[in-house]
Amino acid sequence: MKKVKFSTLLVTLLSLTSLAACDPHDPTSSNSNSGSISSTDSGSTSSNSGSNVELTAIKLNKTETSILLKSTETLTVTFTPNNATNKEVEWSSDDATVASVDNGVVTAKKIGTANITVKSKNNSSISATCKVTVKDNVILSNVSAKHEFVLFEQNRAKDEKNDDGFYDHTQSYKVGDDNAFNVKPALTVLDAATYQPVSASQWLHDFTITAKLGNDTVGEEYFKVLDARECNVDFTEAAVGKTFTISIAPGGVDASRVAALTKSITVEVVDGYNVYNAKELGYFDTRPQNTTLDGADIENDTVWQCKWEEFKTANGMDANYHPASLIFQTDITVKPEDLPANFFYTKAQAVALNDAKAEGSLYDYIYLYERSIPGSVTVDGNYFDLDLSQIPLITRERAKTTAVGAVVGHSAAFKVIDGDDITFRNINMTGNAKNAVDDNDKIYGGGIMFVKGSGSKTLRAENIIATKFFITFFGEDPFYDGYPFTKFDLEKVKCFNNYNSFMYNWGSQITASNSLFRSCGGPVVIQDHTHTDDYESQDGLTVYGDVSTTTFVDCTIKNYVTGQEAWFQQFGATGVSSDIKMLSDLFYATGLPKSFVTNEKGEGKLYQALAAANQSAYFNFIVLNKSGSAQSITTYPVCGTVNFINTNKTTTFNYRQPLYDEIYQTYLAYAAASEASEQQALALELASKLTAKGYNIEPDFSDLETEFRAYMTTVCTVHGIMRSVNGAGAPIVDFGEEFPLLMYDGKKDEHPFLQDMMTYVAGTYERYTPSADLLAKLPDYYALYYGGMALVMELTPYVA
Amino acid sequence: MKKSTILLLVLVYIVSFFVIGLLGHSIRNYNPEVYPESIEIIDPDNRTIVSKDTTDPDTGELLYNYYFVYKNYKSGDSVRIKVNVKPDNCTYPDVKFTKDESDTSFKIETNETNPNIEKNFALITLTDELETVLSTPFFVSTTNPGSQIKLKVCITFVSPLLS
Repeated sequence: MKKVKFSTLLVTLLSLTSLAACDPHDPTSSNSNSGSISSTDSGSTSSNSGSNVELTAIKLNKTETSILLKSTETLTVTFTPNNATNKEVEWSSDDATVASVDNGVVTAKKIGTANITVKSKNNSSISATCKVTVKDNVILSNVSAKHEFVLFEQNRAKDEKNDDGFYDHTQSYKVGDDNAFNVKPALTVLDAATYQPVSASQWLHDFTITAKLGNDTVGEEYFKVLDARECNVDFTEAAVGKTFTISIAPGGVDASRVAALTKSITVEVVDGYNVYNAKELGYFDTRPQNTTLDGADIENDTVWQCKWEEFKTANGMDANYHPASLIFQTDITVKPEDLPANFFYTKAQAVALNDAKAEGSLYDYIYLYERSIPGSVTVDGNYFDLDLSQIPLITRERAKTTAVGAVVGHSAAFKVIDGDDITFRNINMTGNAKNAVDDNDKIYGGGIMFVKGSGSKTLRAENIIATKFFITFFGEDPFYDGYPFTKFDLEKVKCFNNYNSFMYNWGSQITASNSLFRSCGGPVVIQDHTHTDDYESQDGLTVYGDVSTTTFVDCTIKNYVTGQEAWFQQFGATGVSSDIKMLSDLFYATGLPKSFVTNEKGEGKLYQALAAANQSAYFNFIVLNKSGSAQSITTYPVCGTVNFINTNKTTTFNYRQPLYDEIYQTYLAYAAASEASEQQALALELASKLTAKGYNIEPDFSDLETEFRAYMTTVCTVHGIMRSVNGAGAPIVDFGEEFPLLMYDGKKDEHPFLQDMMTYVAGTYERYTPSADLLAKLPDYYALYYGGMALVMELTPYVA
Repeated sequence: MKKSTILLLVLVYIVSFFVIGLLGHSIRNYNPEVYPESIEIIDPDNRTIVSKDTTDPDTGELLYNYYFVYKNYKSGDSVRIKVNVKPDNCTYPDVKFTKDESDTSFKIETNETNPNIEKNFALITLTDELETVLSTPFFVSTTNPGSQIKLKVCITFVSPLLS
């Protein structure tokens, strides 16, 4: 055997080893990050040095290290001996999803642990390993309960004395079982290096979410977690009616911190759908695609096709799904783009019309959400806001004249035509009507109502705060077959800063209990189209004789107006204010304390300016009874009734005939009196009359006030006092579609009652005695008529 | 007295009449309601690092209007902040502090809960021992009627181990 020099053999072996290292079939070759030499050896030399020095060991600068997620760290290699001939190495990671390595540069990709190995290419037995722990690059430094849940609790806790405080603070957080419910808490996440806040979305750990019924943790029979990262959970139908406590514990934190960072919320599960945005509120709407509405205020297009079904389908919603209830899970703001586009005027339509309709203006007689199927539905706001203020006004400002007979505001956010109990509760809602008196003293038309109800059903509003609607509650009796009264029940409702009235009672029965009505702009209640007899309409349907009845039980009404507010101006009724005020004076101005009309600070600069100018300019305007308008030329005797009941009064007064006999006489005398002493004498006369009737009133002003209050705030049915608007010289202006028709000249031949009315001489008040038939329906009905409008005012339930 | 002097006096009288009239008109129309325009929050003790209007770098979403870092926390330490409502003659100079009431890891004391604290100051104190880091998110808002100014505020307490 030929003797081979050792040095030659070594070179040959090294070459073979090198070739093996480059073998494409060698699996270690494809997994390694690099075949090049790490350049980190302090004493490295070229692998092609002249003399072959065998590599005996390699070492990494760290055997263990921690790297923040998404960051990098470079590992360096030390070769032994320092002058080894071949320093070619390869790098690998045993879990590249956690930490990858490229030529010694380690990149942290996911929280966890990985071993980074570097091996000699010539001798794989020569290697070194570093254990890399990938840690969060962010710190979870606080967990608060779900933002909306905190908001719910804050809204619920607001003092009811404040405008934005609800009356009922006892409602639980409601969750629907029909769709997912998100319980993700609010996280405060910090950059681990700087402690500056970063997006909560950078917290990438799953949460552990459990639900308890009482003390028992429940399983999927009631509850399941859909997404542990985003914290979406779902309750089953079996959970309806039960109250659960949900605990949400963050992952990725030390065990010692978990308890402190775990949040719990308690929810009551109901049958319904969780609403997170305005589009989903559209599930209230049940109109099918082919629904048409004749007579909508859409010029040149009298047949209007509803697009709600199409809108829902286009937005991935089930058009045929009608949940039993809708539960707000956050504040909801309704914008035009959240509704079918054909609810609003296009630019071409606006240009063609060239009047008060602006591009984007809402059509009149459009209902944003309409329900017309049998059954009950509840809209529960969970103490959140419903903001409708971005819906454009129906008409433009007064300076841009709207044609007589055109819209004044018939559109509503919600319309209910059929069904059983429809309930709105726990919502703080804002409409788009201007304030009763706005800062710039401009008079605007339009605005939307909150809800309009028609037909045999009960509409309930419970624990509602309603601000800035044209009309808040419209109880509409559509007259026709199969539609007797609409019944409205308002309980713990607050209404502020409306435009027209809080309640427009069109032959309905409205009862408001434990509620507050303030700054309406017009009367608190308009009772319209009231009539007594059934009759057949022009289209052959039976129209029921209805009597509008509004009852206030333990309510506070502070609707102090000057006669210059929006409603008065729009309808040309500013001229009647002085007469209302004069009648109002009857109750106190003859020397009685001025406590029936309290001059309180109103809303807006105009109100304040008027207050400064004339403190006595205000009167508390509660009810207007009328009949006949441009919408219905049928005129009947005005016979609306309003009751004021104060259940807290201990007085033994039951219902008695109103004091109009006494009031009437005193009023006539007062109207003619010019001296203060004479007026005071009239007050004494009134007191004397009351005493004679057994009211046990001493002729003392303070006692008289007390008794007067007691009488008026116990159980008292109040009747109308009618007066002609035109007769008072009130101008009928652009929007005045109603008041001209209150002059009954054209109808008096049809209705003897009207003829009787017209015989009364202007300036003279006469007492009207109703017919026996009317009395049968309204045994307590009396009224003073003068002209064509009935006014009832200044009977504020006394609140101590 | 010269005619010109008399004329001058008459002129002065007339001008004064109008000036006084205008002044009276202004007084009659004076509207005392001055609503808050902004809120400024400061660390009167200068013990924190403050950042204003911190945002999510990815989305640009506002995280906090005021963000304070208090390092080297020692057990029992509190951070005091002061809230200035602008303008100075504001009719509604008071503010209120709100937080997630279920978060008991910290408390906010104000003049309402502790008379020793001045109005519009707040004292933020941790409830438990701090091992690492804890943030205290809360809100500061004005008390005027109608739309109120509301700011998101957070104070982060950092343990000496991390500081």
